[in-house]
Amino acid sequence: MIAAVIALAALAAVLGGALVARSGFRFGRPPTGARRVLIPFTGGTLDPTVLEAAIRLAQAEHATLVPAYLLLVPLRYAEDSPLREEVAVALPLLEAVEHAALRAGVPVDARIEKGRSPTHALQKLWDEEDFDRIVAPAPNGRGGGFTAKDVTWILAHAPSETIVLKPSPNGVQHAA
Amino acid sequence: MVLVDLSPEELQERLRAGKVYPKEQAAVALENFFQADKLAALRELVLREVAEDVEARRAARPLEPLSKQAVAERVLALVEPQPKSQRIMRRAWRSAQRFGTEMDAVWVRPAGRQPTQEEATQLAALRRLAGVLGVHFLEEEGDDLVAVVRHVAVQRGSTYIFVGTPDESRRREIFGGSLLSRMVRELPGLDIRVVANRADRDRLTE
Repeated sequence: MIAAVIALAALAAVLGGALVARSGFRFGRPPTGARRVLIPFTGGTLDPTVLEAAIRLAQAEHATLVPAYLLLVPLRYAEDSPLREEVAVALPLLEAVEHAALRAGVPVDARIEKGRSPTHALQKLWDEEDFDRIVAPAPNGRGGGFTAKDVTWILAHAPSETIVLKPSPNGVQHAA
Repeated sequence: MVLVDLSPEELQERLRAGKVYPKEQAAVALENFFQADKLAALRELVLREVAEDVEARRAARPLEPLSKQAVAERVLALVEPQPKSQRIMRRAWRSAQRFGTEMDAVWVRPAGRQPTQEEATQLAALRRLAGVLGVHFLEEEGDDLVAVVRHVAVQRGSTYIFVGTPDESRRREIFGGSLLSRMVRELPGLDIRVVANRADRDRLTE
């Protein structure tokens, strides 16, 4: 009798294990990197070369990539106004960045931050959250994105190690 | 439509006083379009247009509340202090924009439990996103997620609920029942959409 109960328990354990394996279930939540790599961008553009480099960096450091789209609030609006039209431009780009990172197996924690200027939005984000590394795209010379003045400000005020990457001379990934 | 009605003479008087155009431009205008007979014809046309508009609204009114109620949507996104909730809120917002409707987001905090430091950071980020999107962010307390969501949905008039893919284990699903099945059962009349990670579509071909 005892042997039969043990055999049944063993059988149940094996079947249960097989079921769990078949379902593709992983214990616990997907791993989230403890380190955080911030890649801020603005103006409806992000250079694919810069994005790829940021993803590789996050991969190598087992970090979470934090793509942050910086929205500008025009002076005619209050700073806390919702920005539906601007968000409609930002979202597809942010989703594309998020997909690229997730496909590479890098955990993502995306943000949309707003301010009167890109640097104002960035300062607000830094006031709220900590980052271990910042990857900023250099001006691309085609308009949109950070200006040389913004990059100078970032290098002077960034709270952590900062890398400025030169965009590819060929093209820019635009918001859909 | 808002009608500001003035007699042709009064309008001409305002023009002469420079209240419509600068005085030198007003003199030219008075000799061209802004002549009394043209203004009288325009006034008649506008008054007729307003009368038709009022009549059309009056005729539609008896059915209006019912038809609005029949198609009105209100979106509710269930979020947690986790990175994936940013995606859930963004996806729900896009649908709310397509419906042309209002949206709420709710976090159901387990009763008596304070958020950890990491959760507090995630919550602050979700609140900031809600501010950017113009979403009403709600925080409710309770141990029974479905019961709290039901209460919120009734209170806010929600018709469409967005949830992330549940993290529950297969074992819990087998023995305790799936959370989604319970939601479908206990939230009758509400559409429920599970927000997936689009990057996982690659796994479809594996």
